[in-house]
Amino acid sequence: MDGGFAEYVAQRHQRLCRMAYLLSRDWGQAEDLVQTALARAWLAWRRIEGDPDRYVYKIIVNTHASWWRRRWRGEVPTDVLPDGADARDVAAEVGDQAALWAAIGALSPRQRAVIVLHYFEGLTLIQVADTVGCSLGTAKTQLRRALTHLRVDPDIQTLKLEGARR
Amino acid sequence: MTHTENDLRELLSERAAAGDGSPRLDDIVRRGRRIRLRRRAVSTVLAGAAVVSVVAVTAPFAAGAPQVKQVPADSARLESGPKLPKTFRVLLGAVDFTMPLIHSERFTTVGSGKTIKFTPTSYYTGNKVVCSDPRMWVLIREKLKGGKAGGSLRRCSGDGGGHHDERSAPDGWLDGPQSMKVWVFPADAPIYESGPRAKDCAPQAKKCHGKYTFRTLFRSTGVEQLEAEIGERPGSWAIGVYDSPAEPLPKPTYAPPTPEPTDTPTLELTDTPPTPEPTRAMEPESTRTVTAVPEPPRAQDPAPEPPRAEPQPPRAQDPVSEPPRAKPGPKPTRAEPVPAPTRG
Repeated sequence: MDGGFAEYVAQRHQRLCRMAYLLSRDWGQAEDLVQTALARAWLAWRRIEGDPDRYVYKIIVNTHASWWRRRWRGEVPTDVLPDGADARDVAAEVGDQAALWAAIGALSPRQRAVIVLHYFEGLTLIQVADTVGCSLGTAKTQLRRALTHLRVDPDIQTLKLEGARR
Repeated sequence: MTHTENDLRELLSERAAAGDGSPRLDDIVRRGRRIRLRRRAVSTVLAGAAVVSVVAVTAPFAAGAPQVKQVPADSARLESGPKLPKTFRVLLGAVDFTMPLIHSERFTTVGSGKTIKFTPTSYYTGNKVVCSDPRMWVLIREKLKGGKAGGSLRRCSGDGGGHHDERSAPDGWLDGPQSMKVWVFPADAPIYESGPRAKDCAPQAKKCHGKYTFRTLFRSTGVEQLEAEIGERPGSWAIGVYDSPAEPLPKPTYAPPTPEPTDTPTLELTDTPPTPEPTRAMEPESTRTVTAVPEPPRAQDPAPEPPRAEPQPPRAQDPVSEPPRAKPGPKPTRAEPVPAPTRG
């Protein structure tokens, strides 16, 4: 395979699938997203300069947003209830995590992309803005609104750490 | 319940860890090739469509030669799109005659300037623009007597149009081909509304009035800016040039009187035809919607119009034997194309 594309796929495929799953919340669609993104990246592989991750992330985010606009998002019949109680979870924690996971699912595609890229992929907000295709201010706004919706308080961690030091 | 950022990170890692997809490189490459083929196919189809469009647009002109031979020489009207009137009526006081169409051009896009070239056969050369949408804007820029620039800005509705006479035609008008520049802009172009329509706009002035005024558009930079802002859009319009009256007109014997310093061209920029005053009723005055551009009047330039208080010297073969002012009769009239009785 030309230019290390095969190596890149071998190394990054799983991570990309996980990231795509957090966006789409469906493993089948996530693999489809990643395959589409990698196929498009393969077409432009020789022209990609620098870290190909950014290019592939961008394709995944844009493709997901495009599919999200086109696809039916109503009631879908399924054998297994989604977002149900996980056998590994323990009572209270299960409730909290399920609520948080459900809240993530209720975010808009762009807000979800900002959350995933920032908290899962560890990108800076500047990189997030570049990947999502918006300004830094917009990325910050999207992040703040998403955190508000998720009831995630960025200051709580600090307070806990300070409490532990005391 | 409030969560922390760590909770969020842990949850995302935990949920994402459940998946374990194995990479299928062959599928990816196969998909990439399909995408490439599809893109090439789309490009080919688009290129083909473009060629077909060009052929469709140019075919009538390419294949038009034999058809032109079949029609009379004086019926140079367009085959499709907005129809131009066959004749153009000139009414200057008691002077009343019609001019046939001598040249026409048709365009399928608006938003860019077109240079119209024609060869006048008299000083009364007129023009008229017709558009598929009567609310389109028409901007005409041309030369006037003494090297000044003139023109008009108006909607494409009604019987708009204008003609020269011996006092407005530039020097050397009959010496060879002449040209004028015409822009047609879409109806929603941000052009300042004036004239009769401005009254309707008054309550919602901000919605109705665009930022480009006649004065702005008369500058090259202004019209270029509007061109860039609007871009070229599809839109059908045509311009006809009328001249060579049915009866040979008298050779102009008009001699401009001595200009008065205070009567140098009033640099009034209007985009509607001037309303003739009753006292000027019978003067064979040009009725174009043309006014001089805001240039400082030069001392050596003769005034384009004589002082209105003085009667015009009768022409050698003028159909009116007496000075027009002596005749109280006809109401002031302006040149109007035949089909539409009123100005738009």
